[in-house]
Amino acid sequence: MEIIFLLICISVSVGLLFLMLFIWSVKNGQYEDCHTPAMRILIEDCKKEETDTKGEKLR
Amino acid sequence: MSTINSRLANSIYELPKVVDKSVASETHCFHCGLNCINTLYQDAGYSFCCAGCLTVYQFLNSQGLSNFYRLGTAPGNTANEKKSEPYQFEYLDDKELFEKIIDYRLGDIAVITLKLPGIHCASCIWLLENLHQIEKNVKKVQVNFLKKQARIHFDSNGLALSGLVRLLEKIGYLPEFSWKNFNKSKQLNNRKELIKIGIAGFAFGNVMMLSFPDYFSNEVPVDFKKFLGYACLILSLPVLLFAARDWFLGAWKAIKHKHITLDIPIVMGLLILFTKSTFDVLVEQEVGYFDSLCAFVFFMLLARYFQKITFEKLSFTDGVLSYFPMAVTIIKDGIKRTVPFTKIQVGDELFLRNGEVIPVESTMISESGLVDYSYLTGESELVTVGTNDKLLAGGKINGQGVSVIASKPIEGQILEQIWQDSERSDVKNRKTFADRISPYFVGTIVTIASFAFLIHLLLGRGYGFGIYCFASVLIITCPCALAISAPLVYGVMQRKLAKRGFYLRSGEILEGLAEADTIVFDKTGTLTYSEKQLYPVKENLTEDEKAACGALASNSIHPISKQISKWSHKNFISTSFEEKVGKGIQGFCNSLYIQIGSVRWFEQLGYDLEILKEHKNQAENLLLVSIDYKIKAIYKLQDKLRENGKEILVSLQHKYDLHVISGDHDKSRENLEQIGLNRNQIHFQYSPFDKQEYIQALVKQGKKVIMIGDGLNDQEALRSSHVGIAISEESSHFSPASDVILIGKQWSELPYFIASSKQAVKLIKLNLGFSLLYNIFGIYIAVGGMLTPLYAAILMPVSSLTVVLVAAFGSSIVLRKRQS
Repeated sequence: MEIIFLLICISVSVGLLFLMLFIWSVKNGQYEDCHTPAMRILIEDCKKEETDTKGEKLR
Repeated sequence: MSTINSRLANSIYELPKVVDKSVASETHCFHCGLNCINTLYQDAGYSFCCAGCLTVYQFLNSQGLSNFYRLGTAPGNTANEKKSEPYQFEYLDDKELFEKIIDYRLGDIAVITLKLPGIHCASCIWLLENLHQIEKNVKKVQVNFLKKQARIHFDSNGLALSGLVRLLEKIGYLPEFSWKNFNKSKQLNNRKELIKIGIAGFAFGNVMMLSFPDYFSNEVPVDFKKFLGYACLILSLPVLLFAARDWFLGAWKAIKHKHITLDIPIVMGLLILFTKSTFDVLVEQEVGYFDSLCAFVFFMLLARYFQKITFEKLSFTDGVLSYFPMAVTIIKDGIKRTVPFTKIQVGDELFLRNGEVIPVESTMISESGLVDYSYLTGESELVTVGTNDKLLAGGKINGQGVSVIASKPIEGQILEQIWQDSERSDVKNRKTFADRISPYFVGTIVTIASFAFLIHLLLGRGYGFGIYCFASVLIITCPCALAISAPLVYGVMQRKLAKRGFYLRSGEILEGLAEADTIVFDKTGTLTYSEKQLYPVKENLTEDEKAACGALASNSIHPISKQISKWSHKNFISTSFEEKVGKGIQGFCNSLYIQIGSVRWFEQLGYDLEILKEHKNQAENLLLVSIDYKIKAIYKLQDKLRENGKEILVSLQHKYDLHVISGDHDKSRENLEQIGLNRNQIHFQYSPFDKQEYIQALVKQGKKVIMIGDGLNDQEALRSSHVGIAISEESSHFSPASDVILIGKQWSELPYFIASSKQAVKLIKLNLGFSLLYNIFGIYIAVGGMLTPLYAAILMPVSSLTVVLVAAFGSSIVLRKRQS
């Protein structure tokens, strides 16, 4: 029966961990703009390509 | 999976095909997608509509950012060929202003959030976020697509703000500078609210889990129970101290002002719930009511968050703040430069262009100019001014730019509004329905609770049991359902009404709308369109002549010319053009000599005005058109009532006392009287101050007044009324500080909007009835001394849930029924 004390402590700590993560993500500003990141993910790769395609090489 | 990805990637990065030069008339600009009128602008096989677009393309290409064009077809903004003057952004380098408008700085790195209206596609995000490849002093750019904002980190030592703005302009994203764009602090509030919800939710879930053993079994070992109790107590502490803080602050404020709001019974309930539970845990070794406590706070926070809607595009507190510019052009020793608006000094020579606002009272230097005072006076006609005439602050220059000398310093009041958070001063002190019933509510439950305490004492059941019953009554009647219901109903209604162009600053305004018995309209811009319309009195023009007039008028920016310019459907181009300020326009077009202007001007020109005899008394409102020195057409300028204007006024008249006040001349009095408005309730030539006094007088008579207006001249009147509704043609347009913004197109739905506010209040009362029913049952149990944590844990969420369901479904049903 004593094991239940340990289990409760663990389960609450896991919950606490997620609460911390949530607070961190809010403070990080992740809930302020839910639209742009969805668009950004589609264009991220472009950066690498950009260095070798310059000017005339574009076509 | 990988093939899908690569196909997707191909479709995104595929370059648009090179256009064939032979069909240039059908080609679209490679940069912005506009139709190319000629083949003048070509580069590397691509066509461009103008030199501006070509320049942007070449610039981006030379910087190695040509991927911009791979991310979408014609992703650019049509370049404005009229580049800004080199001095135009100088004012941004003013130290004091700079420090005020940046978000913050870390050493040399300054962070600023700029509004870039040009942002419209994924390519824009990519280009702006790669700005550091063009300019090494830009460290990081983060775009917010929906808000059309970019947060830019840049080295302010290496790159001045004016330089940054010029760079943005060069690639087609000219920032919008307005005082209101630099109002901070709102975001942080939102974050705090989310964190509170997170903490309350976490505590609620865990406390409920820890309370379960006690609910379902009577044989929980004592040490285990003790452990659970302490755990619940610790988990609930942050909920009470942090998450529920606003209710405590609200209650404290109410006590200080000596009136009772809904916060007081809520705080009373929460405190007793907490004290009783703590006592249970520490002394009785029970688990207590912590789960109910956490659930309450969690649900109340959720409801409040739901109600806090921000309309990104709208600002209800614009007023003077956004009307005045951030900078003005000053001429010193023959050199033009810009300075921050706040730095204007008496004696400065200012240069004001078309559309710019006169920032301070000043004296004209230029020979002639046109000023639009409509925001100040409501008078829609332009005023002609000459040398040495006095110009009032707040007028707008129309047409040709003018030079003036500032004769008075900026009003202190305006300065104050610019630097301070203007929001606070604008909030009306309104008591909500829930606040108003709170005193009765508190009185009743305290009486019942004391009654229960006394009865048990008289029956000889001891102090302990008496106090337990007293506390039970206060716990079970905690008006949390009420605190949840109102924000929910308002939140739902607010969202639904906003979809139809009726934006409420906050939900409580619905109560004000529902109570109103008097509606006061401003005339110009509210009942009528803000610009006068042309009505033909006599028209003898051929199609070609009409089109030629239109083409000629398109050279001018006078509001009447703009209307005439709509006639030009053929590709005529005027060969000469001259505008006589305040008189009219003349010029050659399609080899016709055309003059369009006022009667007075035609008189001066020596025309025979015999044909005007019948219209003599209206001469001021007439517009004449002559072709080759022969008067061919006469037009009348008249206010045009908004769509269904008559029907709406007639339908509102049954239920409301209608008034009309206007800054204009009383030319249209007859029209209004025909509709059936009371003669004594139509007033003309009212100054902004008169309007405010008129409203205040009505309020003093005990009337609940809705004021509907549009201009800056109505602002004080809007503020004095119970509910101020501002009509705005477009949601992004300027509107005076108000409670509601109504989009002009949706004006005919006004009766519907007011009616649905009444339904919303009815729903809240219905909810109140439901929670009363539950409370009667709850009080019965509590007075009898039978309240256990389990009862509380079931009864309270059930009552809250009923309220939530009624609020959510009720308001949808109400709105749908009205619609059909």
